[in-house]
Amino acid sequence: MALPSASIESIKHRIGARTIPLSKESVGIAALCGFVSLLVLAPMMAVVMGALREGGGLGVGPFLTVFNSVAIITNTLLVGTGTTVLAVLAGGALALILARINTPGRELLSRLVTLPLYVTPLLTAIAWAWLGSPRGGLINLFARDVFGIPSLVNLQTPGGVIFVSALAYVPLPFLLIGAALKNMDPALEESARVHGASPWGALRRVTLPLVLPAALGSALLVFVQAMGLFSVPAVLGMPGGFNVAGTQIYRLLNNYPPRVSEAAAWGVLLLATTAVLVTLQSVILGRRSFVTVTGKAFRPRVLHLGPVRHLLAAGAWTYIVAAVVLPVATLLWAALVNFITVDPALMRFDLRHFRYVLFEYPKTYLAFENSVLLGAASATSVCLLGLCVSWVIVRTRSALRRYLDHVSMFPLAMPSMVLALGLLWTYVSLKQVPIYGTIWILLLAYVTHFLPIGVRAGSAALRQLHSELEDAARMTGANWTKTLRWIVLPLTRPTLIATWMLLFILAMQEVSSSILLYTSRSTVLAVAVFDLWEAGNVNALAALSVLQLAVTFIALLLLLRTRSQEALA
Amino acid sequence: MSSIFLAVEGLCVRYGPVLAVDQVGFRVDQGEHVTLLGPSGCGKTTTLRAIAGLETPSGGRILIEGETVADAASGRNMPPERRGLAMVFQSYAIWPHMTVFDNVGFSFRARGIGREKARAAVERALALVDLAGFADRPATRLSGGQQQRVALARAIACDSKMILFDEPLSNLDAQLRVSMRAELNDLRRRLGFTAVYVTHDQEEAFALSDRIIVMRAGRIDQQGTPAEVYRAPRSRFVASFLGMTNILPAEIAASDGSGPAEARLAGELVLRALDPWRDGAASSTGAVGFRPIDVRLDTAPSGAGIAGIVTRSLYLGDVAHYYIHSGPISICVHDRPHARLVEGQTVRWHVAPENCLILRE
Amino acid sequence: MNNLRRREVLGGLLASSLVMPANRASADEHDAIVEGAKKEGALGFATAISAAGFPKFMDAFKAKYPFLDISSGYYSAPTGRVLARLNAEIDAGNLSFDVLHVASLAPYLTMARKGQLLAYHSPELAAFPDTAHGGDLWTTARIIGIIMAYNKTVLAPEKAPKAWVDILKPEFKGKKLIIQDSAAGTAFNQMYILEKLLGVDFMKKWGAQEPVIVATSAQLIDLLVRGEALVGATVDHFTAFTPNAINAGIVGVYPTEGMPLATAPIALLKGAPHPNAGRLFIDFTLSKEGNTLLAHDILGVYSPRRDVPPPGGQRPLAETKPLLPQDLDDYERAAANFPEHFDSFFKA
Repeated sequence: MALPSASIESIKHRIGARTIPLSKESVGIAALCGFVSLLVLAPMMAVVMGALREGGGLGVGPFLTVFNSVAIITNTLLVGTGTTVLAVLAGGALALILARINTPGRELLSRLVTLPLYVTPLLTAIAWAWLGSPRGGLINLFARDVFGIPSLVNLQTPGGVIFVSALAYVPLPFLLIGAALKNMDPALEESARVHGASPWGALRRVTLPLVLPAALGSALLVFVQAMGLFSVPAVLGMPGGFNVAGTQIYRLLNNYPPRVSEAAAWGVLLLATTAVLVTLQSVILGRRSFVTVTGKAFRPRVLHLGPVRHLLAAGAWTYIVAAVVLPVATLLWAALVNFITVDPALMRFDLRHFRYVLFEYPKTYLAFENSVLLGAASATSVCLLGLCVSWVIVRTRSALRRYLDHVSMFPLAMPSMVLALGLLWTYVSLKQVPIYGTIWILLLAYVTHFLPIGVRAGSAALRQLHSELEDAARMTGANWTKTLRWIVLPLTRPTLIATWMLLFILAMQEVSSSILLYTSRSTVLAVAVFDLWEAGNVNALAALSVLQLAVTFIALLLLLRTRSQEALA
Repeated sequence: MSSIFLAVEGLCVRYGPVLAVDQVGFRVDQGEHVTLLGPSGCGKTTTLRAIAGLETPSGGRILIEGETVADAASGRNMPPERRGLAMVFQSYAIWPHMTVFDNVGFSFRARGIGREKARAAVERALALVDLAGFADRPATRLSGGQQQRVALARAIACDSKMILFDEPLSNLDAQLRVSMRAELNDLRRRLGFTAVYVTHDQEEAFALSDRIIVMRAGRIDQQGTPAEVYRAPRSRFVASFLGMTNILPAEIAASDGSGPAEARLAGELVLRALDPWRDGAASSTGAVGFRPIDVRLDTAPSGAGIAGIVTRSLYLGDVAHYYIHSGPISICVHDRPHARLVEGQTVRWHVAPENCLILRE
Repeated sequence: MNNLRRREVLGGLLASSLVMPANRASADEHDAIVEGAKKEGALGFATAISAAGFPKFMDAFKAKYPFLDISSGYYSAPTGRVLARLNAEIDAGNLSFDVLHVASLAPYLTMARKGQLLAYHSPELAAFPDTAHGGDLWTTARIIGIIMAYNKTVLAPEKAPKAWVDILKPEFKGKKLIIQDSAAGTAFNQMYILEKLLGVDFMKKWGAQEPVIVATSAQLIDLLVRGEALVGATVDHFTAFTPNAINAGIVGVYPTEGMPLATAPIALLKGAPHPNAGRLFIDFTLSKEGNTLLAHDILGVYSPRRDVPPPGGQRPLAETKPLLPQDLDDYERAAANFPEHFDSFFKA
């Protein structure tokens, strides 16, 4: 077999006396680095620059105002810490209950417990506002009518904010700690038992300490999210004058005169805090994939408890009821009742809100169309971009890969409202790239915001794939593109599909960045929902959310079906 | 007439601060089977992958059939798919989402040749590895041994002139390993390809190779035919790697160049040994090495040989292992078990000069 | 720059007795504008109106000028967000809007001073009193009054407040009052006027009542309907008089001291990409047909035009004891500091 005649594939590049070869591959990697850097760093830089604008020139006035707002900083830390502690404790307990104890129905419960990932916290907050408002809340009405207790719960308090936020974030520690529990070598606990420890003692002395890294990792993740949270404090905190950084940014941008520099300064503060924490996380824990799925066939030891396991199952069900069933039911109720008032006699079953949303509200169809389109486009873009980036990080030995790894994770530290502000500033003046005011800038915002998920998922998928499978393809004559198409993509398909679905659902619910960047033509579902909330049109809001949840539910069913089909194959 | 098929010159491969391959150079003739032998981390796999095009050399060059496929100086590094080689991987690298046919015939698909045209070559390759009729089986339903054969079939079906082997037998159990070795040998003689083989197993290397290249810490320690390397290891490392586990420091007396040299061990003990690498008449410090199996034992109270005490005695069925101390020196001896020496027993031991070797490095 | 004196402002706006003789632009000028708009083909409109029925107004405009694309450039958001976006665009020289319409006068005064508005003497201005427009730079398109409201099924009418000072009573302390957040344009107008009228002490005591804070008046009414609080203290009048609100038991109260007004001007922006389309839109909004549709039919607010009747079921403007800012310079200055000023009274 004759070798092809020589074709120069490398560009000679002389630096001093040494020549550094630049192959097509390294040019490609450099281009990818450049693109991702631009994507992530441009809005960040715009926000930092914006925070330094004072009067007509530069100044640190906005930063000083921010640092002086001790109450808001305290509130933000309170919500962040409270949510994290609650979510990690509850998530860890659930992981233990469902992965390591013979709780009845744990298969089903494990799946249900992750449902809150797919329901935007905004809807949960609104539903709980209706459930737990001090006078007219459904829970309070029920308690008053049945038990005579005047005012049982009031969720429009800092405690309420923490409670509902924790409800929304429990799935994260549940997944991470659960994965750690499942992948543990049972021999570790068995040797403890052989040497005299009771089942509970083994759990306490061996299992829990080993699970600590996963717990810490998830704690940092939740803390980062909770610090930048907007929707829950907006619904449950703002009415009581309880403000956190996220709501303060919102107020500053909504006010006349708008305090954009100060909003940007808050954004920079959040960015700095969470960037430090995310770096700390990767330093302490090394590189762990988001959801560990290994091929190891460990069968974890299950603790057999007596009747108390039913109590534990009840506890798990309580969470699901609080986090999913009650909010969805409340939204459904609000959508089907003619209006919500303090006098129950006036309320009646009525389909007119659905009629309004489906036939009269002008934004419905456009919003659905845009949301589905944007959801699909951003899911696809993030999956592909994430795969490319993670391929460079996991498979190549490029000098740029550590940089690429860090830069692609930056968006985790950026609250999406701040990101949107940065994008607004970047592209409003960049007339050469005319995406400002179009649906494309929303796409850019989503892709930037969700990139870390795509990179993490891509890394997990690639790490499961033995690199020799790709080497063999290249040795057998396939070039890079063919290898990608025939080997890498088919074998990473299950993970990619699951990631695509998750991204689609999340993109459909993304509210914070959409609010700043949408126009009438590019309005999305999340904005329509939020608009209705701001306009006080609660019943139409409920009807639209129910429709949104229906679409999410369908997407979830499709995801589960493809998962089970892949499992059978 | 044999021609040089592969030439590796001054190859260096760097991973960050570490130099995994350091100035490695060797030649492989057409039809030869050359094995890179060494412990893990010695750079043998990296060298192989550099030949394949899966690693980028930071120094040196690689020529295949006279053509430069990699040259660090000019930055040239031909991608693997263009080099026309085939490779069998340690993990077999069988693609689980394809059938056996698709795996074996992949090179045809990569070149855009249709299935029907590929069928003949695929069937032939499968027959050669004793997997006739397996073509339509999904790859997930193969045993480890079968996967290994499919990997081999894939390499054969490419019809390339050189096949690279990266420890292909190390994941098989002992019996299968031995039978696969024989088959590999047969295949090569039949099909006539050139082979570059990587392993850490000395026995495997000896069974398959025309020439062995022993590597350590990124460098070549010694190359030669199996017999050459076995009989005359040049360094202590090669010697002990190839089974010469008794290596005793010694003062090597000056000699006139003919006949066995005299090696003075610690404590007035003297052994006479061959010195094939003698590079001068002067005396020097070095070592003398001999194999456990070459030691003669004598239980008679007096006679030729060095006196010693048996400190450990292990009975292994076919053979007995004894550890013998002679003053500061301790050696290991493998002997037929009939002597049945026990611990504490005194014994005299002796090694014939032709079985002893002076080792300098 | 407007140097308006108190008497003129009050008298002119309310009496509307100064009906100037029709100063119509000639038919030629109008045709030229229409031709220009045809070439432009689109309109960019930024507004803070979020009412559900507002699309009907836009549709009516589109029916009149079908060649204009009115949906691509339409942006509706709370006042602050609209202005943040507008300022970002103006700074970048990449303006996408032609017309601005938000419910607060202060931004217009500032923009006029900075030369960011484009003068346009609409032929419709003839029907407006002098004081309803700032030269040719901005014109008041609708007027909102800020009142109180309560839910009669929760609070007995005899206990309900009648005057602004009544909200300081101890029975309304602790999450019993509801106000709009500082971001709402009407909040500023009301609080500026009340502070001038009743003093800083009133504001401090009001803050001490710990009211619930919501983003919009509609949300406020929603809370009243659900019985979550007793009295709304910053109510956009029209939200209390919708059929839904009345059916749910909401009662609007015209305070005895007077009803602060918030005027919502409309203006053409300098550097507008479609100035002629903008002129047509302004004409339509200010015309009898358009203003009746907007103010009276859709939104239920007051119109500055004398020939447009007051919204159904509400008192005519003159009978509400309307209150307006007197010193517009002071008013503009106060607007610049309002967010912090608000927080000083009402934030935890």
